[in-house]
Amino acid sequence: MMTVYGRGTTGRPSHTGGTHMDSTGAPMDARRAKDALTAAQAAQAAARAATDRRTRPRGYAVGQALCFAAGFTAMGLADRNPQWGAWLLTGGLLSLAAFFALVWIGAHHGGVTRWFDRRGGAGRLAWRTWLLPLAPIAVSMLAAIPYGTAGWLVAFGLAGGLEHLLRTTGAVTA
Amino acid sequence: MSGASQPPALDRELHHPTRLALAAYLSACGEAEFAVLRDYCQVSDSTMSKTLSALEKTGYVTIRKGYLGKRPRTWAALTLTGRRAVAAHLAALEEIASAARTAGAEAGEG
Repeated sequence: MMTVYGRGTTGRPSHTGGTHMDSTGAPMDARRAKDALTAAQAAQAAARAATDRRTRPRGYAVGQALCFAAGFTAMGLADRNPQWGAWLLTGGLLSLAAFFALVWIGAHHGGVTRWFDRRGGAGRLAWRTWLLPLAPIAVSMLAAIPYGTAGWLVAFGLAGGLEHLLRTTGAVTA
Repeated sequence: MSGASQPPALDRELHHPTRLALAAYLSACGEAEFAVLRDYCQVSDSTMSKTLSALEKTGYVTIRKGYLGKRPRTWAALTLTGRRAVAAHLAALEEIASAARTAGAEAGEG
């Protein structure tokens, strides 16, 4: 007979004729444990498949990337063109609001949202999953050296939009 | 057997297959809509509602009600406590299964 593990209702191991019981008082043998584990892993795999970004309509990713790029670019240009500053700033803020709205709607499309998981999967290191999201920051900091705040905002918007598009469409794995 | 001296901690609240499937599904996503969970678990609206309510009472699940246009939608998500409980429960199941495999291998060698 397979060894049976578990704890009694007191939280301590109970021994009834060499059989351990689980916390519900019911016996949990290895076969049942394996079946339960398999079912749970299948449920997790189904949830991950349902949240796969590559299965989402690409329109969301394109719209999000455009809004992100337009928002930061407009705010960067507002710094350089004071006569249009108010309009550009308003447009930029509206674009960023649209970006967040599209992220929310896109995330809830299909009835399942992704869980934030930065663990490295099989065959890749965890730090690599952070590399691509950090790239726009690095690019924008380089642009800030010659062009100042305006360059930082424009470069961050364009690089961030591109990075978002590549990541959400699955063109680049990160 | 080493595992027999300190038995794995199975969670009473996650023992039922529907509850475990539901919690495991939610553990791999941020939040999920009621209909998606009901269809995955292949249970009735009533059963899913009761299962979610039971897990909500234990503090493992949070329920959020919203609208998509004019249609009401119910969303469920696992709390951090729930995520820890699912992880611990799955680890306990894995421990039981692996201990049995080890015992089987030892018996085969003997």
